[in-house]
Amino acid sequence: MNSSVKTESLDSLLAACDRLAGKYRIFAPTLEDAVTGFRPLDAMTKEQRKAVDAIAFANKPPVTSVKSFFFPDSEIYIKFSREGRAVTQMDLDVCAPQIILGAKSCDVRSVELIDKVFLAGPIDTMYQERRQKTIVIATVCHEMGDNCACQEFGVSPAASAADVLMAKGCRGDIYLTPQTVKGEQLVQELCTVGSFAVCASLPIPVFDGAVEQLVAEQVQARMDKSFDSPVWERLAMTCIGCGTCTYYCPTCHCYDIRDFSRRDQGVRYRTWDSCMFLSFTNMAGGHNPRPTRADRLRNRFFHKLNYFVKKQGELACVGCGRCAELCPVGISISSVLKQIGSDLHES
Amino acid sequence: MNPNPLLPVKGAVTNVICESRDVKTFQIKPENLFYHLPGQCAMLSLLGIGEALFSITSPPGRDYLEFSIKRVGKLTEALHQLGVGDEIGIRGPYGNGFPIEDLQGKNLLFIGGGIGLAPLRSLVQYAIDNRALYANKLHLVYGARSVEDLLFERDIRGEWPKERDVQVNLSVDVPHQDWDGFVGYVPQYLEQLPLDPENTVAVTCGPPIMIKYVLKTLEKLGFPPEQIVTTLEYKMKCGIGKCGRCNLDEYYVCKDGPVFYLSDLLKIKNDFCK
Repeated sequence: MNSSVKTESLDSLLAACDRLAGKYRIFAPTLEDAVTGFRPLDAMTKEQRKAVDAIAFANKPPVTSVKSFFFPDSEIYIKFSREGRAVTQMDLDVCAPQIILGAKSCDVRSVELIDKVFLAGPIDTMYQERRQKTIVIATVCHEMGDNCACQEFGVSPAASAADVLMAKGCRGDIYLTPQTVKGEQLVQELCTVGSFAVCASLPIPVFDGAVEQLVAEQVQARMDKSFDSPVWERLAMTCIGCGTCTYYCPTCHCYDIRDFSRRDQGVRYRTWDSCMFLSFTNMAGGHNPRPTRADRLRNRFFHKLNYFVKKQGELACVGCGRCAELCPVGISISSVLKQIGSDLHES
Repeated sequence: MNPNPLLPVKGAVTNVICESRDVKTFQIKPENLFYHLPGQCAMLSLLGIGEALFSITSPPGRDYLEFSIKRVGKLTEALHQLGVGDEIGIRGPYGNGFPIEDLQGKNLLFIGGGIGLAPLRSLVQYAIDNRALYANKLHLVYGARSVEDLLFERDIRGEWPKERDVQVNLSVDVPHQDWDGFVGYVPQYLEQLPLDPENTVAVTCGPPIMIKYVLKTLEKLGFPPEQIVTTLEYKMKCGIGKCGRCNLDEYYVCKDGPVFYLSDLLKIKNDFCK
């Protein structure tokens, strides 16, 4: 394992991927409606296919994370039809093997964090199946993006536990280094359908280490002290409760279970939910343990920076910077860390 | 591969008891009956309508499970339409249940409000079924909004008071011409009763506002937090500590609860005992 291969360009890699399209669904980051995100390779326009190179190798992650490939925004797990009193359950679509080409270290790490929840007993089998059937090819970053803070959260922008690491040489040649059995098998398959040569792996960019890593337990302790701080009320004054942070956050994994039926057919599905919504904890009888926006906002940041540490020993943030980029009122993990005054974020 | 933990098994409704104008008790036989502890819960669902967590109100060891369900929303409204022979989805059991081993050899003070008697009933009946282990005094203080809202008539006024060393005190919030018992809220009633914390564990369940004041009253009456047990109710979806909504601090009520010692609740961030 770990012997690298190279091909002359991203185009030649994508051409090889095309030949595996019968076996895998292949996704890569591109532009759609001026937003960066993962799209099926075989459904891309020529322009979108051209855009993959710049976005996959950008020094920041696409706007949408990879979490939806393992934990779709909506996932049906019971499908039924009814005839009188008789109910028949129908077969479900099976998740096809899939390749995610061009994920970033932060997102690879975020999936490892969700693993700690969904793969702990009782195992979430829907998630587990998608995990097993997905091969992640990650690209390395050469510098930190505007809102990036991955290194503070212990993520290396230039290395990850992805199945395959992908790097670009100075002539645009693409280097693939498998890191897992799944990755090794995929690289072998690519070699049989494309034009690859065995090579030494490209040196991984070295970051100078100037960024100091947050210590999970210290952040947790700071949060403990800030539970009754006025900071939550203050943030809640600007928060509009839109839930954008939770939908784009690669580690947010809260879900709802809902039923839908029409005439004689129906489904039960799970769907992303957001702890920022009033309905998240509102009970049918009317009681709500987190009735105010400040309660909900505080709970969200406590989950990331305190509860997850207590439960899993890790911060539930990978520093991808999406909340900083997307929150309409500028509330983010970094801004909260600043306000609660961590060692690294003296305000 | 393991089975999907979110998939329910089929169950059949085998009996329905009308408890009050908005509460019915459903006896259900699942295809694969599971053993449960008093205080544990299960997810009940109707395909196309929804799913929710309910406490199991029957004690362990029966060949059925009972759920007392108050009509408050879309799903419970639909559940109330069910009759004998109807099919229902069920999965569980979930949660930790009451600390039945800690309670052995103790005087037990059960404090219930409204539909909150449902989980307590499982424990009271379990203690009565196993009197050798729970030989001390069993005392139930139970209140409802009105005389018509008192649940489990057959137990609270029928079978239980006949048992040796079992005392039942009932209260209602509003007076009624046929009611000569206590009128007022449960915490007020507690203050009037001769209660001795010595070797006694208080176990409470009811609406959140009642729990909050019962906890305060018990402390005032000299019950240390280590002798107070409460079961909490949160909105839950998965039942297995993953969907993220029922957390109290780092704990999930569905998995780590719903039963907590007050002494443990006091250590964590929650809205019941601020």
